[in-house]
Amino acid sequence: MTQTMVLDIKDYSLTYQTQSGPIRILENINLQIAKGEVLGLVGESGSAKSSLAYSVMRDLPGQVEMETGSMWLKGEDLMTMDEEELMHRRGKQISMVFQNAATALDPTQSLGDHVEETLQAHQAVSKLNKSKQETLKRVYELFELVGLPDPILMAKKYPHEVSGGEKQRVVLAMAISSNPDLILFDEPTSALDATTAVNMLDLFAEMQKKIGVAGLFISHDLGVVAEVADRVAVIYGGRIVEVATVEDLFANPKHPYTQSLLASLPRPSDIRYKRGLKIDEGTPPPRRGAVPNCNFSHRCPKHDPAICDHSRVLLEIQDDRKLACVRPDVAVNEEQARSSDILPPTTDIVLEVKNLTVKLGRASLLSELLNKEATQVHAVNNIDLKIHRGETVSLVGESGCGKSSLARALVGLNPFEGELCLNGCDIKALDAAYRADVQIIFQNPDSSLNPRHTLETILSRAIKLYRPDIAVKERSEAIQKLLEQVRLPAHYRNRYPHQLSGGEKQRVAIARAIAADPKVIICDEITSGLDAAVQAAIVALLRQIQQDTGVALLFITHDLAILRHIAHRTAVMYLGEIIETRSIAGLDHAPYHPYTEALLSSASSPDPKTETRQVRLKGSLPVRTSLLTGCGFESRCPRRIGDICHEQPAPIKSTAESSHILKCHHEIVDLERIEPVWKFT
Amino acid sequence: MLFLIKTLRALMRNPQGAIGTVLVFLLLLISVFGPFLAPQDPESFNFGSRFAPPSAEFLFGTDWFGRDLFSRILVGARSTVLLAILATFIGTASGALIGIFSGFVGGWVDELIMRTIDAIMAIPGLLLALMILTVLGSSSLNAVIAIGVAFAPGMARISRSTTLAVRELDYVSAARARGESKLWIIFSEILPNMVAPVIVEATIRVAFAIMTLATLSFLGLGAQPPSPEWGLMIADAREHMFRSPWPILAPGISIALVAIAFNLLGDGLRDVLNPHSQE
Amino acid sequence: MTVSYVIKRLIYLVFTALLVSLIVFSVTQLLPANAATMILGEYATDEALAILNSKLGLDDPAAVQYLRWLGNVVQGDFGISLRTSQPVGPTILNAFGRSAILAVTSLLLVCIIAIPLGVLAASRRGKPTDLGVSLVSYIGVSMPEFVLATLLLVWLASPSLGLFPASGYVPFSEDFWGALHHIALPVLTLTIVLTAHISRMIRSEMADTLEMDFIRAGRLRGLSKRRVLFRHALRNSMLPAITVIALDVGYLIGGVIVVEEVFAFPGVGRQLILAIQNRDLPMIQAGALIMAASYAVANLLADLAYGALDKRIKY
Repeated sequence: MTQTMVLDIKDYSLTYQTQSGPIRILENINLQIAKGEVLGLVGESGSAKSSLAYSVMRDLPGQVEMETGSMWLKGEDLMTMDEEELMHRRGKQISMVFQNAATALDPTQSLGDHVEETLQAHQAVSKLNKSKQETLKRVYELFELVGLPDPILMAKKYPHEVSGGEKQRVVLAMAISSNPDLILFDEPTSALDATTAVNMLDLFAEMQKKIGVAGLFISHDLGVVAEVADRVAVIYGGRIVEVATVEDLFANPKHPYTQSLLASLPRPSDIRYKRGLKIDEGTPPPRRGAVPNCNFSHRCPKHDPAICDHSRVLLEIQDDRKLACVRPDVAVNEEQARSSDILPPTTDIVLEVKNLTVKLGRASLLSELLNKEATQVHAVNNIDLKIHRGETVSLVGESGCGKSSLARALVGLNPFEGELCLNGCDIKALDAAYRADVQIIFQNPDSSLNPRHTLETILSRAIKLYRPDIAVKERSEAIQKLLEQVRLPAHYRNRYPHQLSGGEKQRVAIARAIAADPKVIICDEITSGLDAAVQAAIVALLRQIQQDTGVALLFITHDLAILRHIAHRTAVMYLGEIIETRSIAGLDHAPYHPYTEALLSSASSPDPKTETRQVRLKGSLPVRTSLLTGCGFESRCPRRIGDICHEQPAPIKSTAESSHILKCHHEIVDLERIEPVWKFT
Repeated sequence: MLFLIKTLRALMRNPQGAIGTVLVFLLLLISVFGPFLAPQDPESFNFGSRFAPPSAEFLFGTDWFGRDLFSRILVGARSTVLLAILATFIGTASGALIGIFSGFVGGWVDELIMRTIDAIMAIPGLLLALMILTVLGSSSLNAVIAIGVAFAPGMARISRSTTLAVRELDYVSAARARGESKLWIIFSEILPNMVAPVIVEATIRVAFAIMTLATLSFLGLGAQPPSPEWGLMIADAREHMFRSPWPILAPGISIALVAIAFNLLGDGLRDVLNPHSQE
Repeated sequence: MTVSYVIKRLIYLVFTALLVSLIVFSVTQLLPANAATMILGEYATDEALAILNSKLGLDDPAAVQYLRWLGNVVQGDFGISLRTSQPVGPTILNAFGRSAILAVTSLLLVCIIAIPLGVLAASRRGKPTDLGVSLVSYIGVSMPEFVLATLLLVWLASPSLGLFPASGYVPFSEDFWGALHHIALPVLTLTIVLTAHISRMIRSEMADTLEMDFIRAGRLRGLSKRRVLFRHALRNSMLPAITVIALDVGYLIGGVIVVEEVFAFPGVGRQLILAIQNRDLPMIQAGALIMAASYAVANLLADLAYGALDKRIKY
């Protein structure tokens, strides 16, 4: 390669030794990043994308069995350097932005000291000892550059005193402090809320333009990568399978894995084009034992043993891109999945919530004695919500908006004030009958399934408690049926949760919920931790169950993209209140509540046919301790009118669209004039 | 059962765990069969060979009456090791139950229990055991009870904090939302998931119990002469300590060895049962 | 750290002290024989017992007795020793001063030795240094004080060598070197055992901290090994270490009792053992209370230090 490459990885392979034998992490990696270029690296969980970043940093956590190839940073091979030489390059020539800024900062050190020590570490090296004053000046400069307000005050703060977005900005400030040649971004936005994440992405793009640094941007989210990268490399099972420019890759993916990955991602235009999601929950490629010639072949629709298994399939230049596939031009007999229309819901209300309020936090005995005021957080504030039979209502909002508190209140895990009405009956106490009718599925199946119980125990408990009509003898059969319903093999009944994959675990949680034959299932962020293909499969399963049983779903999520494939209506929540309710199709056009508008704009889209209008929010979510006098969104609203927003609660308004209501001081006619967030071409 | 075999297999792969397991296993054998293995009567006097150094006849030497130290150690193992395990069991079982109950019930009950436990723990362990023995009178069994009671608050605190951590997990929330009975939640959802830390703590505490038991006997508040309890043997040997070190060395090293064995096993178990180390 | 945090801790200390005194008092109340029997002996007439009982106030309800006892204790009056017929207060205070010398000297030595040792072991994890430190501390924590103390006696105080006195105490004011000579072996015993404990704790705290993300992040920013180790890892391990050291003060107090007994050192521990053997109620109460109180104060100091160091604590 030419000298202009900042990073040049040549035929790099890494194998770790483990107790159960060697395990291949990375195989034959060839990647180049030119000066000023951002290369995106995309792959599902377990694809070893982060391992590649740490290999470049020369920081390998495992016990290395074999490591071959070379890594050139501006003409120097990183792999031949000793610890001392590496120390002088880390943070100076290559720096890193970590996934979780909260844990990447030392809790006992102030933010300013973090940046200062990084600067000092590299000044000493270059014999450019600046005075303390000058270093401090540079710290403030950097803080300003990454958009931290009031740098002098900020520098004195400690990590726990600032928000997640602000911490990530500090990490970025450290990364750019020594004008590096290359920055490695390891999932830098996935721990952040959507509205904060887009601000960070904007900032990365801006920084990149300003200082012209090269970047390796790692993410599981193609949409995010599409926003910042020039070129994208797709990694699968430790091998790079396709490298192309963002435009080429999204418009015309060639590797069957890339195709499958893109086909399972939801897009804003899906309703318009009646596009469905591809369900391809393939198993990951083998990392031990025999080396497959193509590691996607075990799930590849085009796999032809005569051609594909002939010799190692390597990444080679083919036309406008690099590709690791020997039959890219073979057409597959596979159509893009079509979306079937979501069945319309009925008009009978199954669950109605009136004036529901949840207060969290209890004063301790001692602070009561000390006469301290109890600080109660109003997690949910006076909410009204109706769910019809056979309907899916999605509840969206950022973390901390109170959506989980609401979910937990509805199943009796949080005390609440207000009225509940199930099937037209007022609910006085959450008794066994109510619990059977209203089921919940939690976000993380790792913690919602008891690791010491087999699937049989897990499912039989639900049957025993809720289905007295099923005799003891018939329970085994009922478990069989439940496993079938969620498409798990019957022999799984004796397994423990840790023997299952993430998607399979979530299916068990679904089976447990439907065991009661409920009227309503509350799904609390149940697809958040899952890869796109698995998410698509879970959503399809829920729809099937809804079709078969007419169950109503309250689908809680922070991910707006998936809604179109499951929900009929959406309710947007902010600071404990529902600020807008409307049909899913309605999201494509104004009027929007200003918060909904910003939230929609922050959803990244891997869709070449969609143009997203930028709406950005400043600041972070406040905490609702005492009742606010005005509108909860007032402090961050880009369309704030004036004092009225602060002084008076926002009135509830209906629009021309049926069942569309929003809470805002703006007149509906004014909001209707707002351009839609998406333009479909 | 499967869990037990798996744990044992993992233990044998862990160097500390392997040594600890083997040593503890041997010790238990000796504790149970010690009296049958002893080559000589531990109480018979050999005035011809007082203060003998270790030899083929007397493996660990003899004391001031010419009693065979090796036989005395073997016989004494029962009153030291088994009683220490019993004391730990009393402390662990009662402490764990209090802790789980307190953590699960929460509210002012929890606050009351925990403040009381804080106060008891504000008395150093040995001091508390001494005070309990003052009330109960000196004997081996009373020493066991005293140690058990002195251990209970610490165990309660540990099991409470584990309970609180487990209680927050979604599978307990799921059980509560499902309307499961409190008994089911405590015994079937919470208890199995906190056995690991409790077992680790209990194993390490056996070492501690052995040391405390010997200390109490040494102070004259535990086992009474002529019992071959190891701590007591050292106390009795002090009169003659400048004549021969063996009557002190033999039981002293035995106590340390047993404590090391349980410490090793405990540390090994901690590594093995740690969820992060599992695949 | 706020004033309310300090106040909260102080309230907590008073609360703990009250509960401890209650426990100490109830334990001694549970004794099969009461003070009157102890004084007059087993063959006293019922009449004489009754007279003495009412004179000592032992007829009153337990609550009244407790409050009276507590009131006296607060004024420094711990009663009269049943064994020596001397006031308990001055005796126990003198003994406490001597015990404190042992405890504080050992604790200081331990902090100086154990912390660097633990840091060293953690930073060389899996290397010979670590294994060596771990092995020695393993043996240290598995060796009860009385065994170690007796072995030290056998080797270093045997009449033939005469390196150290086998027992007793000389006040520092009378003979400085003699005093030092006398406390050397007890302090050595306590130091060895506690060093093993604390260096092990520090090592495991450090090892946990070294696994944390911000340590890796620091290294990947190009910070030197020293800076990562001392500025980041050690500082973050010190917080739990403070708690560990404070908890080990409880262990130290137990050790003091044993060591004083072995070396016939006239401190609180020895007084307490003597009192227990003679069922000397007022002395048992005073000894137990003063030990528990010092432990409580050590915990208070640790809490305050924690509060001052940890920026995250806010009450």
